[in-house]
Amino acid sequence: MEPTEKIRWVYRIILNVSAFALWFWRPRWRNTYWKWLPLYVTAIALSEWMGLYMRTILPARTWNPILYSFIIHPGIFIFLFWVLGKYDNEQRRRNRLWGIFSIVVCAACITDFYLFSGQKLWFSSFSYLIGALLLCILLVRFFIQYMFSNHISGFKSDTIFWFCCVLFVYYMGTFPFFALRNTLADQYYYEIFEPYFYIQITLAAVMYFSFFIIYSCTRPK
Amino acid sequence: MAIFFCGIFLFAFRYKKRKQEYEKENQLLKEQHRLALATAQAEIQQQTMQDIGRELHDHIGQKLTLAAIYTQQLEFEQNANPETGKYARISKVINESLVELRRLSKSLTDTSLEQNMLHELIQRECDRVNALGRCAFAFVSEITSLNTGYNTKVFVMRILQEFIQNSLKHSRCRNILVNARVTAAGLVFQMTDDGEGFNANEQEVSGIGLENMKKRAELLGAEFSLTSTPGTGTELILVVPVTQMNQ
Repeated sequence: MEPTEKIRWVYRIILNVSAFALWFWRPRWRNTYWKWLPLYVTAIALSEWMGLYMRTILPARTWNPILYSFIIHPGIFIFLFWVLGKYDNEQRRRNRLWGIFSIVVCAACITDFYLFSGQKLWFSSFSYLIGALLLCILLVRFFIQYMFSNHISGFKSDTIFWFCCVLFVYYMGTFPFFALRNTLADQYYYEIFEPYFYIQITLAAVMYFSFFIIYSCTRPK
Repeated sequence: MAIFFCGIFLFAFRYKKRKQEYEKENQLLKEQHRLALATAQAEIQQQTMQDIGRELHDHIGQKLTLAAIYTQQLEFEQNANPETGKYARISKVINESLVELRRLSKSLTDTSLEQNMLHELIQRECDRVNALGRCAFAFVSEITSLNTGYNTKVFVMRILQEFIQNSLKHSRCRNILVNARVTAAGLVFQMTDDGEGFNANEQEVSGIGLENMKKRAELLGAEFSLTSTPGTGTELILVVPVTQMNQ
């Protein structure tokens, strides 16, 4: 087994363990919007298995990018926008951004399908790039609002704060990788792409495991 | 990366600032709570005393007056009776009781705490003790005009009264000295007696008097220090901070 495949397996195991473990702490969060987090991580874990199945067993490898670009990535971003929107609603702040950004991501999917499918540009998925960019904007907005709110004094036990930190580290850290994925893979495979791939997959594993840690260590307010 | 580190720095800075603000707010809330408690206690105490005073005057006083009238009437009706002298004595006792009762009632419904300044109240207490003739009470004050808050007056007076009562009751002192002065720390009351004293370290604080004094000082936000050694008397220093004087 190749080292890249080995690390993918490690990532899958961590993701599945986290998804499984999250369900044990779900009763604690049953009256909050966080009750959907185990479902979200489980859906990602299942999609990873589906991706593996499509990539290795199905003859047509083209289904895999379609699954990620048009279903999984938009689903991920819409969920994360929704969580941030819910948090704002909880703070009695009106947040329409999550709805607008969700529509933008869906529009990016359509653009991806009609304009970029079949073309090899420097990025692999337009919808992912737009989603990640919009998510980072929402996260920066969240941190700015958080810094000037009273919640900052209790950030150590605040679920949303740590959740956003983890998301921020992953999506900011991997943004260049996904933005230049095709270029890096074609021109700098060994120098940049491969090490960056390891970093990306490690960050992803850390992110999902952190979700479990946050979910089990913090409490609803 | 630089923006990221700037963000962390800004976050840490905001957190520290918010924490300081929170501690300040917390301190303020505690202070307000303590003040509210002290005010409520003083008001309840004053109200209870006034209620008792009024009740003594209106209810028991009336009954005693009636008893005095009946006795006088009996004395009048049985004028020729050799036991008349006894009725007169009973009537006299009832009238004396009435006088005592009225005095007590008046002292309980007294509004002098509200109307007088603290040094005037202490001076009155000094005159009252001196009138008893059991010991000499001296009040030395650098304060000629000090308008303190109602709570400060009530609590300082109650502490002083408790000290005087303990000195008269237990220490067999000949002299009591109260010194009042204003320093940078606040309003300082130094109360001393030359009585028998006690070992403050060994003394069991079972009596409610000493506990009450401490509690009142605590509610007032004042420093309370009681020192006593056998044979040398007792000294109590009460420091009311400047910030608490207008309570």
